[in-house]
Amino acid sequence: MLRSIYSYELKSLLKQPAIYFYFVVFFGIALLSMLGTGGFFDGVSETDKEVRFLNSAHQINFIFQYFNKFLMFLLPAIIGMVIYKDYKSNVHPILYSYPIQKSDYLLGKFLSSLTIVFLITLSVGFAFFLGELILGTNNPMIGSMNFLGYVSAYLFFVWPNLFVYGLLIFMVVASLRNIYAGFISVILLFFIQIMIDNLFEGTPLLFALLDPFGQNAVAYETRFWTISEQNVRQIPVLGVVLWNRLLWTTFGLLLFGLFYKKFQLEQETFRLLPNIGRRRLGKEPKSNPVKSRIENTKVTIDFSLLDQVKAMLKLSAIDFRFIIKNWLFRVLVFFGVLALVFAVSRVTNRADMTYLPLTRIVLAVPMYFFSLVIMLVTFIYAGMLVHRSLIAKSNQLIDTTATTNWVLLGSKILALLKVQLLLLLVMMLCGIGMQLYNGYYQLEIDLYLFHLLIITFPTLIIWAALSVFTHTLVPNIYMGIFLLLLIWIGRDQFPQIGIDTYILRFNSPPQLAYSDLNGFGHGLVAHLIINVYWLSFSAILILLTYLFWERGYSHSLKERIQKAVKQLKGYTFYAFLLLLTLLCFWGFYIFQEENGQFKTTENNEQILKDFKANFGKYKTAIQPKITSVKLKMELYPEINSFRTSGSYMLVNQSLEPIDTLLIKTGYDEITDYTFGVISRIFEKDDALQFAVHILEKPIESGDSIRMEFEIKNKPNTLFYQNSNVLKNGTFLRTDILPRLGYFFDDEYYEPTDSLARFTNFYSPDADLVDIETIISTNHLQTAIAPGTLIKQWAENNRNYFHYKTEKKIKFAFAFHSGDFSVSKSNHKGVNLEIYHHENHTFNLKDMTEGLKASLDYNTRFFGLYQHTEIRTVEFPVTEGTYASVMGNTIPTSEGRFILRNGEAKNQINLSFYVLVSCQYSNVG
Amino acid sequence: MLSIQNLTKTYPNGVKALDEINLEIQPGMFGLLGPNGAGKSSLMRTIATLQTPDSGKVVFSGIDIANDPMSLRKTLGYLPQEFGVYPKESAENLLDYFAILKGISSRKERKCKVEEVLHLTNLFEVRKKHVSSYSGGMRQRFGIAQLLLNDPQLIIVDEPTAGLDPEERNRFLNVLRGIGTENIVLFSTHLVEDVKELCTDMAMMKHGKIYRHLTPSQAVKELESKIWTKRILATELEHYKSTFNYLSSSYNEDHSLTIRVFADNTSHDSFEKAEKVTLEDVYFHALEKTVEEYA
Repeated sequence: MLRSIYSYELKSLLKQPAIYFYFVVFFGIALLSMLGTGGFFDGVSETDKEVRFLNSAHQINFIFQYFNKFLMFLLPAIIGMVIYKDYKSNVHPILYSYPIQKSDYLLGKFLSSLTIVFLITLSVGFAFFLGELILGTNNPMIGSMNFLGYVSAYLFFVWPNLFVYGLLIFMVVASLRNIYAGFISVILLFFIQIMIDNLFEGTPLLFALLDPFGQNAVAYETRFWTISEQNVRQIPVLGVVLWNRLLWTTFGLLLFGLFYKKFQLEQETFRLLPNIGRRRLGKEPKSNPVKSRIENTKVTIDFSLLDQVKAMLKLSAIDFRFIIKNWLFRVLVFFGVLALVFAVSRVTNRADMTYLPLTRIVLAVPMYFFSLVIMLVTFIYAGMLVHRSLIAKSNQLIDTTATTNWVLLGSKILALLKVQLLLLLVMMLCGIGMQLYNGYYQLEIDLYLFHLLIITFPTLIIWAALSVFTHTLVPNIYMGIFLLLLIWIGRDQFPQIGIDTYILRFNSPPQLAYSDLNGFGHGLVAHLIINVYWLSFSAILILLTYLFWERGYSHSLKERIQKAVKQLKGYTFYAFLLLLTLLCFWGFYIFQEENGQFKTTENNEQILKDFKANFGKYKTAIQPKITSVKLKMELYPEINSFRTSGSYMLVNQSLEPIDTLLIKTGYDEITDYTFGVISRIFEKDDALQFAVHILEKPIESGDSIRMEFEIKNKPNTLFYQNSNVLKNGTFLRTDILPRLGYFFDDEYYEPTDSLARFTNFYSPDADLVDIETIISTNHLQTAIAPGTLIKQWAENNRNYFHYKTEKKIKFAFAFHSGDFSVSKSNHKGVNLEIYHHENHTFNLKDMTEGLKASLDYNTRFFGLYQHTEIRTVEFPVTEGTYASVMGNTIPTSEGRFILRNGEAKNQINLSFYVLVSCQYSNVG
Repeated sequence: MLSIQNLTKTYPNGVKALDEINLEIQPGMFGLLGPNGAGKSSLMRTIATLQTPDSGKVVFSGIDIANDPMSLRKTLGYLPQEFGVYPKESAENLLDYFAILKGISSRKERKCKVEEVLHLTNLFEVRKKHVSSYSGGMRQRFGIAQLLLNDPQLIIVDEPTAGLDPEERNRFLNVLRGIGTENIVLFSTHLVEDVKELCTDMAMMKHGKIYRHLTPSQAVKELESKIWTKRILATELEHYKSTFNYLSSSYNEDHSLTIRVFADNTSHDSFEKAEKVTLEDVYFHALEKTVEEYA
């Protein structure tokens, strides 16, 4: 009996096209990822570093981690379905009256579907293996063939995981007789895994044991492996890994045992909870005679445009209600909120750096978790709405009404969008709740609304359009969801297979980061333009959905296409043309901007390698030293650009005459320079902005020449920002200035003798220098350069500042410009100034105390501070989260200004440490 | 008037569901009789604009369905053979939903109409209960209720009484009777009694073709004096089947069979003339014929 059930189900599964579809899809993804990681699409860079073999047991196991998660989807779709279909098709009352053993029935069904799932998983292994062969043994990332690695991955991880969770899903679906419960269980499992990951991070052993997928156990056992060990050794299956596998297998089997006892081959399923059951209304109320004369109500049947729009709105309200009343939806949202709360609390309570729950932080981190929920909800409910009438078998009733396709389609899309908005609102409320709970009251509602409605929502609309389109074309709702999940996960991988252009990367606008100082920055416009592009694409998708909307029955794909083409006439056709033109226009514009003249170059490694080969001979060339710098800097925050003119004094401090100058200018800048003497260019490399100049007359020992230069940033394009000048919070560094010498060696110079204390090991082309800067910016901002402020004036609606260093400093400069508030104090003759965003006042007091404390400390041990002021200047978090010392300025990331008050101790320590290093390196 | 001209449809699996169907249907109750698989549902679905035929056309009151399905839908009421409803919705709410879909935009009008159809189908008492919990008969009546919302002039009902108990069936047919007078009600069934009770005109269909088109009374009249009965033993059945135009048989309490045969004149003395020619006889006679034609 077991055998017949097993073979029947197996054959029946093998007849389903979906099985082969899944096989092919997994095969394809696995192959592409193998090839992509192995450099098939963009070439392998040759490095001397030790390479990890892609086909080592360790790596195979590692890559399988991701596939394990994806393969889980197969469990409800195949294993859950094999038992659910008996209930769905209502065959169980017949079947259960037969002389079938419970064991045969359950095992037969489970084992057959499990077999199929196992077979599908083999696709991944095949793909990897094929990938290995294609990449070839010449590829540095491919080591010797490792069959055992595959075997161990399958035997100890892939198959046991699927076995245990298959049991679980099977159990859930068989008891609840509901396939959606199966999907929820998978999602639940993922959540549990994430929770466990986060809760037990601190205790590695528990962490390893409690990972349901076994991967943390592997990580634990191999955590000390070097790369060469990873390349050669097999995954250790004893130790923690074994315990983990035993633990979870036993757990699964126990649960299944419990289920098995309670399961009966009966009409109704066993009840875990007391009867909350369905009430069947079988009884007919007592029969009333049919009223012979019932007033016929005259109704106006109206299909005018206005009424159809009204109908669409009314129908979408009904569809919306359908979604939010659905229990699956509520469960998903509940988990989403949990994850969100969890994520926010992690940010505000981390061990090392704890931040205040600023709105931008709440929006950044938890967004990711909650967006998963919104995506899932969109994919699932688009399908449920599109197929709703089919599933309920009301489609014949609905399709024979005169309501047009666009009303039916429109109502569903509107309902989806409303649900998305609702979820965004939930997110906002949760975020606000968390902020208030943590005692933070600067809720920036406008930022919430802007971020959620203008930045996030368009992306969601595009997904909704794609979901509805997919579900309309694909008849099987699960395949539709699967496809959508595939596209969602897959689009991030496009760059891996060589597709970089935004016009093909579906709905993937450039990432935006928010800074209180600079807002969303220049990336916002690019982001919005990409959104508009994909929105026009969505409009086309919606139009196509309308054409292909199924009304009644079609018996072949050809018939569907015919029907669709027939609908393409009149206004519809013109609309289609219009949208297509719009799309092409945007696409073209984006494409132009992407391939602008000043795009950043790729394949940097190869360029560097060539350069080292050609110019390496100059490594040891002696160069003059820069002793003084004069700059005239003009910043234009509104157009994100700057112009600088300036000069160096170059002194030959060596004993030999120097006739060759090696000049490297900034990558993102256009620099013109001349020397005080006649010279010619001997060799140059444009990619790395490096040139070798031969002087007509060499500089004698002790002699000096002037170098004059004009710098401006390469023009900014929509996607590439070549200058670091921001609308607010500009932070320019020394890398915009020309440098001397061969800068490309990885080794740093070690101080060799006590004299070296006077030289600076950081920059071989300059020791300590004087710098004088006249820096100007727009009339709203304050500009800061190294040195003391000598003069400040306004001219032509711009602010001018003249700085000059009184003592020499390292050749590491910071130039800032921003709309700052300043907090000033004085400590034993040193001016302490903190330039900050007007709202970032949380830690000012502690920072000032920290500065004073470190001044005292350093003065005691290293001598007096050599400048008359210390300026702490805030720069946007998008530029970094560090703090540094450059001259008498301490550029400090915005991130450090918003540490939680309780943790501000860290901030004091930071200033302390930073100043210590500053003093130490500047000691003279 | 509903005019069906040369309608043909072959499914991808090769089954020719409709084979050059030609029918003219006047207002009144029109019964479409035929065994399972005859093509009745395919015909109904095609007229109801749910399926496109391979060739031929359907014209209703001057509307060519192929070119302008929407106009037909505005005045169509369709009750399919099998239909479902959204779970956990009351009859009232569902009818309101269907009313929106049928184009009744005024909320007040919808409310009135929904009440009216609920009364007409005797579901007013249970209007707030979930339709998914209704019994078979109530559900069929609900199907009629939604059909009536837009005062349709063409009503198509596909095998509506299958699975109803006698009381339910009776009630259902009463409702149908009430609405069938000025409109065309196209009513398909394989239960001869239904046609007998209700229809003013009928056609018999098998293998995708229309075999007879005439009124029930005409049909019965045709066979007057041509139906004969005889009591035989069960073992003799095969002999009689092969010798005579066998129509049908029924068991008596003593396990003997009473058979009915067709004959233009008396074929055998042992036969008695049937008291009454029934529509069943018409039906089996027509089927017999077709079986012979294909033999």
